[in-house]
Amino acid sequence: MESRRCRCRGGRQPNHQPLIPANADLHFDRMPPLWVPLRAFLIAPFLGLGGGLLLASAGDAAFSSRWTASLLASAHLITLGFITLVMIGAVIQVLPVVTGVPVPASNWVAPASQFGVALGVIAMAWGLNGGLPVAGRVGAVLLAAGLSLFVPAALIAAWKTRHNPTGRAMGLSILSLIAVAGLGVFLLAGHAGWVPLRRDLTDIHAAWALGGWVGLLVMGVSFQVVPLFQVTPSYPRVVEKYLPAVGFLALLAWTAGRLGRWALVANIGIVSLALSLGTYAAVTLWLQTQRRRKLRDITTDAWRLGMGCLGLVGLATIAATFGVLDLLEPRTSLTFGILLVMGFAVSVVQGMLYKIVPFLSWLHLQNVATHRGVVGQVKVKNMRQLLPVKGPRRQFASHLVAIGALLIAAWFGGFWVRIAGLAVAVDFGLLGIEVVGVVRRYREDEARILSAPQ
Amino acid sequence: MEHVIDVSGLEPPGPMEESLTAVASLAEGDHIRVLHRREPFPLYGILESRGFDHRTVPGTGTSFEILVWRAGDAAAEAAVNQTINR
Repeated sequence: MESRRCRCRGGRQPNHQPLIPANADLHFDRMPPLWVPLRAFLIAPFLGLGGGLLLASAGDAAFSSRWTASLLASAHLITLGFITLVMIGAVIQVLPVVTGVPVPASNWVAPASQFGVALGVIAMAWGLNGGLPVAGRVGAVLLAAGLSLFVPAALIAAWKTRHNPTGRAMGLSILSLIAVAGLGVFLLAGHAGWVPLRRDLTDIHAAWALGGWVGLLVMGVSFQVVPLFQVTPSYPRVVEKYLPAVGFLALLAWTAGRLGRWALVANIGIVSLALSLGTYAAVTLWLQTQRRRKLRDITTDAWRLGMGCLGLVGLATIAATFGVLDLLEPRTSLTFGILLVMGFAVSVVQGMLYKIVPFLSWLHLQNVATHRGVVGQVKVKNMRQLLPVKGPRRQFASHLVAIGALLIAAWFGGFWVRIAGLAVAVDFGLLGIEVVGVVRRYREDEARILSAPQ
Repeated sequence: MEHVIDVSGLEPPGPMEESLTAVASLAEGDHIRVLHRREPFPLYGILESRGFDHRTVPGTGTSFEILVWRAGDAAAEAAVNQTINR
């Protein structure tokens, strides 16, 4: 009988084909230190909090149109400061865990790029909101520098994992990030007065940011983390193989249609993008009904909310394409943006953080115990002890309140905008407290393990 | 002797906890077959650090099976080779 293929760490089996490349071994020594992603996970919620406070201080004027400086600044603190910063950390730390392939030079690429993005977005928000062109220029330079460090390293890792659906989707999402960053810097240069401001590029910038960079990355990451952490069946092979590529090509077609003023091409592109993201959301929701363990879980709730919002956004996009919905109307466009950013992207990223942060902390504690030689003598804290369930539930409730308040503010304006801003600040503030709590418990346990007699 | 543990229905870090608990009590000549839904990359490094060798093969009922034995245990390694080549 033919032997089964094996991947060996013990004796030699030269006749056996490896399951994965031999150089894809994962060793703790090759994983970035815990602080590499944790730094981003710790800072990101507080940038989101800043976005909420900025909205609260701006009040009703911020929601008068989608072009107000305070709304743009607040939205970027959330999309770049929170979502992108966490996504960079997640790519750098999660990729080695789920595929065995590390991001090259992540020990210095990650902190440098996170530093650039975090400081860049603060400067950019300051520049946009305060009308201080020099801050906007500094922000543009820092953002471009930060992302230009991350993009090549992440592309190399994505190329090495191109046979894996997550690696492919990640590669497409990073290509999208190049488009987002290029357009974003060009738009910032317009705001700074260096080049004419091309507002018509804003939709293209936003579509590549949320549909390409965030949408495709979430898709790729979810192919691994949904079955892994939510104990569902794997995504259907056809979904893993084709959906990210369909989404990417649809974005390309829509962009070409918009720039070339070919309405039919643009419409086909945007409907295809909506269908691919909507299909992905529907498949994810269906997989969640197949969970082996039906215990209530905050990550699953957050992902359900995110996928529901993504589905609604997909339907709204199709309705708008066929003239049933006017997405240029300010209240409708604000509702669309709230569902896409806070409803989909922020919910999913928050849900992911609740698994990734305690899991990585637990994993590193295991490593500390192993190297200290106290395995079996010292009990390492489990994930539930690192992140008790009560806090995340309270935070998720505040997230729902924030989305509700934002939707009310979009339709009724007035003092509701300040209330919504405060609700967003509370939402991210509570998330930050939970992440800080995990890190504090990690450090306590690490100190206990290191002081244990060998 | 082979001990089989099925961790395919557990969410992380359950599979790793179960696997590390099981291998800690391995007797000489014995090995463990871990039935897993995913390839557990982080487990490999920890196993190696704790003095275990492993081989990963495609599973029959689950996607992957990881065979683990104490490094240097020739009898256990021979048993693993035999079971893979069977």
